[in-house]
Amino acid sequence: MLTLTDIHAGYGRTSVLNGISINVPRGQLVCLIGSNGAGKTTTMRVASGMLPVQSGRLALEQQPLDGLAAHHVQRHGVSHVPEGRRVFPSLSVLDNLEVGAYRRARFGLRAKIDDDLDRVFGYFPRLKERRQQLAGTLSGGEQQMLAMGRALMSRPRVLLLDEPSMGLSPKLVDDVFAAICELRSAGMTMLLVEQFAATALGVADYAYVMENGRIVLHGTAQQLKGDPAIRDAYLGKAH
Amino acid sequence: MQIVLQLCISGVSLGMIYAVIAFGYQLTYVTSKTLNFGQGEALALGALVGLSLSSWIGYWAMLPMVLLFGLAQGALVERLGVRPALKTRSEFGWIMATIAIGIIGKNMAETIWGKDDLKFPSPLPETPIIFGDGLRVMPMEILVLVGALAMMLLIELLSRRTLVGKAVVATADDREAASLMGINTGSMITLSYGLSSAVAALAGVLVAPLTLTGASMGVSLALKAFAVAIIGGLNSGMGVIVGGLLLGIAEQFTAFYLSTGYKDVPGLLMLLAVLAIRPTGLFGKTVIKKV
Ligand SMILES: Nc1ncnc2c1ncn2[C@@H]1O[C@H](COP(=O)(O)OP(=O)(O)OP(=O)(O)O)[C@@H](O)[C@H]1O
Ligand SMILES: [Mg+2]
Repeated sequence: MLTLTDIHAGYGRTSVLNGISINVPRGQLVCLIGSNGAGKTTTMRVASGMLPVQSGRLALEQQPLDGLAAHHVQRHGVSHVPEGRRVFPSLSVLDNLEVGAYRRARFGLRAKIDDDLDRVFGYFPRLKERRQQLAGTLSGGEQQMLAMGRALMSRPRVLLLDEPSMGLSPKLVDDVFAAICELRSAGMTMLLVEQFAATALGVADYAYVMENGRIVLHGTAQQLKGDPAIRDAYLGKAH
Repeated sequence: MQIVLQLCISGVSLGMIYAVIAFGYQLTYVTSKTLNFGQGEALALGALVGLSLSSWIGYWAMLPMVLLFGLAQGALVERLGVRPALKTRSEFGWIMATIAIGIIGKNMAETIWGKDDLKFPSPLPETPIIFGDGLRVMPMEILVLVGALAMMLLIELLSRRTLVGKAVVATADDREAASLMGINTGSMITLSYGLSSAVAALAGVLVAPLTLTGASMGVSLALKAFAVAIIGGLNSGMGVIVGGLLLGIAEQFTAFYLSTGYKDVPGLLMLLAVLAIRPTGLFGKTVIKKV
């Protein structure tokens, strides 16, 4: 459904991605693992249009997305939960969610937003209790829930999740993974970057392993879990 | 005591003009970290356009027209000057560009309306209202106070209550994250420039009957408002009101007790003092980001 083909990208003159190809099939949870600085976040930024490609193709189904600005890519149905959450600190929880549905809400479909709010509050009941609070005053875990909820408000066709468990306590990591599993059974197509590789492979359908801006290995989550090289390099980290 | 009160009252309306122009600086600063250094010319153009229009369609019907004119003028400044500079990542290009567009605006104004100062007819009676035992307040001073407060309150309300307003706040908080929500953040910055100039243009119309009207009328106002924006903090609405009032009143006292020649000194002293003690401004927030 979401395909990156032979992507080269970088910052200024430094190239970070050297020919990345990733395919995220409809309804599947695909996971991207790799050590720090491998280029996982850069890949996600390319996929949502935050970072322009130098060469290669980005497409959602038959629709080419390369060269589009981030706000246009989002309108085609790609929703990105960025690394570090990046909720809007001076807006309330409710306003963050409303802004997440910006495009639909702008054209007077406010009634439909209520359904999405209910759905998001279903995944993250804690957000409902805190809905009037400023997002900047939420705890790290609550901000993560808000970042995910906000991304869901646009009814995305593909969800990009960059290290949603970063900096969370084990209990909250479980909550975040529970939400991801729930989304998966609801049929959501997702690309997930995770440091807890073992946990991620436990829930993913397919996985890619990145090193130095290249895909060095890919296969079904089952295959990768059984791969001894993977086990040594990445699977030490379960939580 | 009587004279002290009288000076305060006179300082308030000028102070609110400073405050509302400074508020305009804040509008563009929060979304784009840039300022329109042609704000004084936007103010003068607003007053001159208002002067011509009011003789034609009347004072009150002229106000919404000047609002529209300001919106368009500010949007043009952003599109022509600021956006290209930011695109080429030129760190200070926007400063030169906004100053240059200001100068062009001033030259155009001089060509159309001439270099001499004009008289802006007051829409309200020009006889002071007497309060208590002899406090004199000009009706126009009250209109300035009410008008300036109304503009700030309205923009504050729009940004809190409407979806587009929230999108502007989101852009100010985190431009990249806002673009991930499908918000065209470039348009939000254009909008903030439009609002900023509209505020300045209306401030020009408000202040014009109290001062003289001409292409250069905004220069010192904009400079002092800039000081107020720094004194109050570039991200605090309350700060510019307090800063503006302090400056407006301080100027009245200096002019009365020292000499009108020293009228501009208190603003500069306050600016230097605040920069030395609290560089983020009296009410400036240091932004805390949670990890
Ligand atoms: N804004 C930037 N400007 C220049 N170089 C950058 C920038 N962001 C990332 N890089 C570089 O690109 C490389 C890949 O970074 P990236 O953030 O994609 O890695 P990552 O796999 O997400 O790492 P982590 O696990 O630490 O999040 C790194 O060498 C990094 O230093
Ligand atoms: Mg990363």
